[in-house]
Amino acid sequence: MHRIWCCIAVAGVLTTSGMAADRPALCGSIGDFAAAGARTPAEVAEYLQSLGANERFDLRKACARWAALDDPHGQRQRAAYDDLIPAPRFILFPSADTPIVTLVAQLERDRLVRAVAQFRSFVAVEYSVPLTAAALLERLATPRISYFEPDCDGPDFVTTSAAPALTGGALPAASRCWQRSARASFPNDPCTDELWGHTYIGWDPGVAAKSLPRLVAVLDSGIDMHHEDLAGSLWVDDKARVGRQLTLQLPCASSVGCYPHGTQMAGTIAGRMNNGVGVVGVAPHSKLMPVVISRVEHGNLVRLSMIASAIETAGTNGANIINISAKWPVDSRAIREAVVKATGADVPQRLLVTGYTSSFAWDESLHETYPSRYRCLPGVIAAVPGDARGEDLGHAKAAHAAATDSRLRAPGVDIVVTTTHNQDGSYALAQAAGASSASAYLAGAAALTWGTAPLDRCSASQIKNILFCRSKRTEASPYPWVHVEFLRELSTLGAGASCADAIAALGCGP
Amino acid sequence: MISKLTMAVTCSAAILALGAASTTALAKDADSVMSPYIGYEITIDESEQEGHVPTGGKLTLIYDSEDDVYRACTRSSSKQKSPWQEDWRTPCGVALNLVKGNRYCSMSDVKAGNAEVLSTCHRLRSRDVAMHPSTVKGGLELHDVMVFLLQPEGKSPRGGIAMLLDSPARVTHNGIIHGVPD
Repeated sequence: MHRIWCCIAVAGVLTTSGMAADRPALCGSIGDFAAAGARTPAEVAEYLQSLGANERFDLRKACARWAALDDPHGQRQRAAYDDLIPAPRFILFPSADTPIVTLVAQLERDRLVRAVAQFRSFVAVEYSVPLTAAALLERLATPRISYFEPDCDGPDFVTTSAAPALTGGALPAASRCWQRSARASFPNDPCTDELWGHTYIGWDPGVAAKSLPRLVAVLDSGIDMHHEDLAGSLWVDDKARVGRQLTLQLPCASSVGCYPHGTQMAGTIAGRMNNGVGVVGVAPHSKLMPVVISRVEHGNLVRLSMIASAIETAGTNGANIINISAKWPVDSRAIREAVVKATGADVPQRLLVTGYTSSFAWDESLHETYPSRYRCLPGVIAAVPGDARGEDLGHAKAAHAAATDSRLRAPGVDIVVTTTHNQDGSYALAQAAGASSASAYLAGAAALTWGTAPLDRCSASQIKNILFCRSKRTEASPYPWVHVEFLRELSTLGAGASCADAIAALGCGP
Repeated sequence: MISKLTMAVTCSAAILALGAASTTALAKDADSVMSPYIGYEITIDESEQEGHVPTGGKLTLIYDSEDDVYRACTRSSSKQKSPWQEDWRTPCGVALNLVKGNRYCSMSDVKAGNAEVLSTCHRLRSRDVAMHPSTVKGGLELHDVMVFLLQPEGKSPRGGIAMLLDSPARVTHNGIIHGVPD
């Protein structure tokens, strides 16, 4: 009886037909959340419809259903879900005629609300107790709310880590380069020879030494501001040191309170060059903007609302490039709108670089995850992790690839990186791999390219097109390798050369 | 439980631990791609998920013909860094399904974590393995376990394994668990 009531009630308030939140025509539906008339993701609506009025809403089940992670045969998983139902969290979008502050005020009057956080276009609400379907719909299916989605986190929504332990990956004994003193040659960073990825992407220290700084936002676990190889690289906006901005932007105060992942990505992107310490980043003169999305005290789990607000923070603070070495399995409206706003819908203002990631569903089918799937947007590029050792990229010709697929291969195996805690040297290094490292490599390559005159006068879309045009294709993969050796060619251009001159010289014109 | 286990090779420590005095000599139903991996003891020589799979721990993969699954039978060793926990502690308590690709993986494939590539590799998988106590009292924390079968090196008939938890796409700080045949 209750179930019938609930289904009728839900059907009346949750329009789901035509919902295209996570469908192949992703970019075709950008901005269509409101136009589609849906009030919540179709899968969440279906979950709500399956509940009786007095059944409690389970955030984990809703998120698993939304992500197509729900295993229909997973009886043990369902039993595990029943252990403890968490209090729900949601991302709420106010209706067109409801000021966001009005929605916030309404939520703050609800005694069952534990916390409310207001962002540019949405509100994140966390309730203090589990709610029944009826109680939840009473709160969410109101004219003041145009759209709501679960504010998911959890292992399946992992961004930067599933492993809360602060342990670094040990380097093989043969490559304990941090124990060496500075090299005699330029650059003198002792681990330069271990950076096989630099060699394979055609990185030139002479070009890097002359490059101009770009601002790269690293949406991650923070960056260890005390690391010797990152000293002077961090950008922190003093104006942002208030309220939640402080929470988002504060770099790791110490290595103890900082999960290593963000620091690892930072070193690959912009580790200092020729300082006699550790590694050298691909764009060593660039500045790093740490934006914390995963914290040790939160078990390194990240909520969708945090990712969305972090992207907004990076955009509003003027990052040229946003690196997200992270993934999640759903097309969150809050995040998608933040990505579109930060990068620019049609003409990108900045580049968002991420790793190309997929997951196996319960039935072994492959599902590309986010933000990788946003690569159909003009300002987004996805890095496919690879190991080029054994391939001869040096003699491969430029691929002259179109940027339409938006996937480039980048080094993603055995990458020597900066990390947060010392091993047996005075500064810390580890070894990383995967889509995270590939993303960091590509972000560094984009920053170096954009920072090499006269390409500093180019737009984000021009930089993206150049990266694809001058990538190198091999037989080993359908995805061309990012390759920046071409930057040397720009030295022949005069000081007054324009971006168009450079594009013509590189053979990347229309 | 013992009676339904059809062992490919009988001398593993895990089998001895179960008290299996004699078993069918060869598993006619075990898939041939599993031949280099079943019945041999494998030592976890490197674990970046120490809380989930301990370095130094030993496991043997066996074929359970009744359920058509491969079971991981663990054994503790004196050099083990931490104890096996939860499902790992149950004798042969982790059941894995074979997902056949068209080749064995390399360690480099696993490190890169490109699911497109890894989907072509032979692997064992279970979606719901409890590997350590839940952080929630009374709770159950289940993991998605993917065991990739590594190409046997050189002329060795035995292959090692590389294990990933929860996602083939490696955006994590670490996460690879590597095992070598003894």
